[in-house]
Amino acid sequence: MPVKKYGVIKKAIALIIQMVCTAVLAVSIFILFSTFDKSMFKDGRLTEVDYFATENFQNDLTNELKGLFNYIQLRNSFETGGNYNLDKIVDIRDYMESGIITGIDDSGVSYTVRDLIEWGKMGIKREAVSIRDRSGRVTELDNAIKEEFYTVSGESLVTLYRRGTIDSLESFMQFQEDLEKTIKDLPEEVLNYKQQTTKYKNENTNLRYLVVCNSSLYTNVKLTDGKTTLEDIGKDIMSGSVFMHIESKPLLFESSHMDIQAEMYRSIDALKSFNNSDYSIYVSVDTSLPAADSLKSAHATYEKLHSWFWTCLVTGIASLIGFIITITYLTLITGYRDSNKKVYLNAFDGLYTEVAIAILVLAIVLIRYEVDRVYSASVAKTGTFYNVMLLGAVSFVLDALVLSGYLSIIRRNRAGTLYTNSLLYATTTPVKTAIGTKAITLRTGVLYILTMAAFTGLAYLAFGKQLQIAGIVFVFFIIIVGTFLIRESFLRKRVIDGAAKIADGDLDFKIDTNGLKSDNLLIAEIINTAGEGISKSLEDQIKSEKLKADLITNVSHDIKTPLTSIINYVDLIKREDIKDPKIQSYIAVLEEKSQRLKHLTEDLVEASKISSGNIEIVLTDIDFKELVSQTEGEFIDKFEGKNLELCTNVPEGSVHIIADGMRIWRVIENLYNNVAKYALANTRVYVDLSVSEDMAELSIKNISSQALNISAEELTERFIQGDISRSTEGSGLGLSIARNLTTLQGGEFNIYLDGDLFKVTVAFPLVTEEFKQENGRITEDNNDQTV
Amino acid sequence: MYNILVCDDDKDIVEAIEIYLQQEDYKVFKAYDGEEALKILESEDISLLIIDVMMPKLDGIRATKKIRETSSIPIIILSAKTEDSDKILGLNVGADDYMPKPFNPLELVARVKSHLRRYTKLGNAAEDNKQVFTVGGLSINDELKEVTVDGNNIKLTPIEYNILLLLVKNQGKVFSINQIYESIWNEDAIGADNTVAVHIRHIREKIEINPKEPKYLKVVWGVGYKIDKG
Repeated sequence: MPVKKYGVIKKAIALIIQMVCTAVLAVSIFILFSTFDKSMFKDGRLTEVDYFATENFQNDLTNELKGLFNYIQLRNSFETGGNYNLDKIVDIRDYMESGIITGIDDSGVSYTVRDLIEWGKMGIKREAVSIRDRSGRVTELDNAIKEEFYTVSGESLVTLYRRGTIDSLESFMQFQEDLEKTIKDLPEEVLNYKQQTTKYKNENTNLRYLVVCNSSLYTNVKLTDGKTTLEDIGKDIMSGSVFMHIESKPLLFESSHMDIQAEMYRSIDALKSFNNSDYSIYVSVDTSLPAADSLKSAHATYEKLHSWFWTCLVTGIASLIGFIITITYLTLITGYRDSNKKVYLNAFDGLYTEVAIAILVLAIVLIRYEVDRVYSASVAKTGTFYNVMLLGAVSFVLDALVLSGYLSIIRRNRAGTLYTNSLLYATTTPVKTAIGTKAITLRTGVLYILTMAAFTGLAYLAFGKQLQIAGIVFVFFIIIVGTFLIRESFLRKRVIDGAAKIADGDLDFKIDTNGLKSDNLLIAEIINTAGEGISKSLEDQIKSEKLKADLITNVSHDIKTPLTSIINYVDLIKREDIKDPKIQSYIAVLEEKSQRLKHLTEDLVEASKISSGNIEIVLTDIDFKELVSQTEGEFIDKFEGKNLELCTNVPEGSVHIIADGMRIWRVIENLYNNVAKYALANTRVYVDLSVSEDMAELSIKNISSQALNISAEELTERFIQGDISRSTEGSGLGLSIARNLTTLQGGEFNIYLDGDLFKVTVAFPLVTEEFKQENGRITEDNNDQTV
Repeated sequence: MYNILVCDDDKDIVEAIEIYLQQEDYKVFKAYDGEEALKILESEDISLLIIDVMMPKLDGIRATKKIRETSSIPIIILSAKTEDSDKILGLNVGADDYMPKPFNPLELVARVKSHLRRYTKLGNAAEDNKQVFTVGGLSINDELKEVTVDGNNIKLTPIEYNILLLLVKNQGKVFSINQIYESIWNEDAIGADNTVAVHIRHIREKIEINPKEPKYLKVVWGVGYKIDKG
């Protein structure tokens, strides 16, 4: 497969396409959302709709009408007989409570609009006054409003208080407060009133209205001569395609847009002027929109943006597809330079994961904040186009930031550093290491504290009556602990089974450490290492035994050649007619020692081979009794020569055992040889063959000619003989060879010493049915078993 | 007078063997490596070869292999290597005998004699008499009650003779002590008795060159005794 390169240019192009797509997508979505209207969705498909039929228009109209009603209330407040009246009396208490100016002095504390506006211009000053009530009680006020103007009745508040018109200190303080607020609010409202008057002038608004409220008539329609009654004028107004007509008596609502009814009533009811009286409202919209009001600009915006709707639908879908494709592509290749999938990280990826994320989040927040600031500062003087451009640019930049963060996370994940290069990891790792490696008591302690904390939390929740949460947490806790315990015990079983296997001798067995954690992992690893160690040391031991055996074999080869010459020439000297008895005795010594050397080398090779297990054992069916008879036939003369009386005791019938014929003969031969060499002359030798449940045991007892001042174990050690006899004919390897050979054939070999009594027992397993079936009786032609 | 070639890289051993063989009136040729031995075999009329295994230039095993391509003279291998595998290798490449070092010089001489007799006399010694049984160099003439090994008369007691005859007549069959007892004494064998074993040993001592490594009367340990088919 050829290596595919993911060059920098390819990536850069993908990135730019991705960001452009994001910006376009954001703009498209914005435009789609701002121009989409429910009314466009008819019979399940999108259709073109006239502005006046849209919901947008309904909302615009509602807002426009609310403004109008508000204006009517302002007129009601500030006009007398349809004209702005500066002398209108403001009852500050009423004004504060209901927000309207009735022109009637109810509370006795009222000012003219003129005075209040004037006062507002001057600003409120404060002074310390001492006021006295009707009963003469004086109260010191160090922060009262300095009374620049008197009430319509020409009095100050202080006077009114003294007179008792203001009947309590609380009331006095309340009036002060109301006054302050009125002075602040009223000029604002006047300003508002003046603005609205301009706004709702005939040439400035596309609304045509006629409102009768509080027995006053408010309209921007010229009252023509022919139509004198309100109904006539109203009908005239309502001749347009967009209209509304509301009557309070009798209750009536008719409109080209019936959906706005609820909203209309709600806003009318919120206004005191309408609330407290009967009213008739006629409104219509001149759909040719001759005046440059908000409806016209809304219409223009709608028309302008709406022409983009279908374009944006297409660009939206296209950019969405582009977005998905590029993000998928970038997700797939980020961090790679070619299809070899080696992950490369950049400098940004080197930062801690949390730090990187924090930087990005900070950048995003800052940008958002900055955009808000710029947007709010410029919204008044800029249009839709500017907003759209701003949105696009912001999307572009935000996408670049989010994308770099996202791709960095993907790369980290790919390189496996998402977690390992995180602050969380960096801070918890030392703790984990400490927990993992320090004394188990520490870990247990931490676990204990955590468990206690969890239970304390539970108890807290439970006592706080948050039983449901406590219950859920508790069940969750139980499940986690249960899962943990079950998992742990399963894993521990695996470790135990593995350890048992190794203990059974399968030293090459390895416990699978996959999924093991903490303690179990540690134990498993220790066991595995121990197994390896034992296995290795065993191998080394076998190797060194083999090496030793080889060394002994090779050395003995080298000894044998000169030994051959010695034996031969000693024999040749012997054949010379030598008369001198002294020389004859020398020759005898030479002959004896050279023969002994010969036996020694032979035994040495055999012993080393047997002890290194370097021999082949062929197990067959052997008659132990026959073997004893055969052996005795071989040795009887030697025994008789030493005047040893052989007392043999064998059971009736044959005794079939499992052994290697040649090897068992070597064992028995060695034992008899031992007797022939070391038994005290003129004594009895007892040979007993007995059969137990599954073994046949041969015991040989004799009296040693030398004192046996060593242990039974030492006797079978190589080169050890009964001390003094070391200088006599044996090699000292006989018993060692016998013992090792017996063990190799699956038999048991034991030596007992009691004073001069030497007893040796060899036991071999009896032939089983199983063995018979597998091997059968030895065949007559089996030459391997012959000597 | 037979020509015997002795080949060993150890001169002292060769000379010692020469002394023993000369005492028996054999003419001895000496070689100190395999190549030398091959040369002498080509130029001289050699009747028997005694050869060592571990030698320079050409070792005994490879020399034996080469000799066997052209000659059938008896070859006795001498070696310090005494493992079964070494013996089997030597015999398999064509040697007739394998003597481990250090050896008893008299045994070597006896074996040389035995091999020479078999090599030179066997074949015309084959008699058609049905009363004569032979296994290798061992021959029993039941008519004359005469036993010979490599032509030498052997004196056996009647019981020894009967045991040997039983085994020779049933070559390859293993007889247990009881079976031998029952067929020789014609009565049931009761209890353990080493009589038969003792007789067998005595027979071996009389007919074998090395009774500890019998050529004819073999012991199957724990089973019985037998004489392999000759």
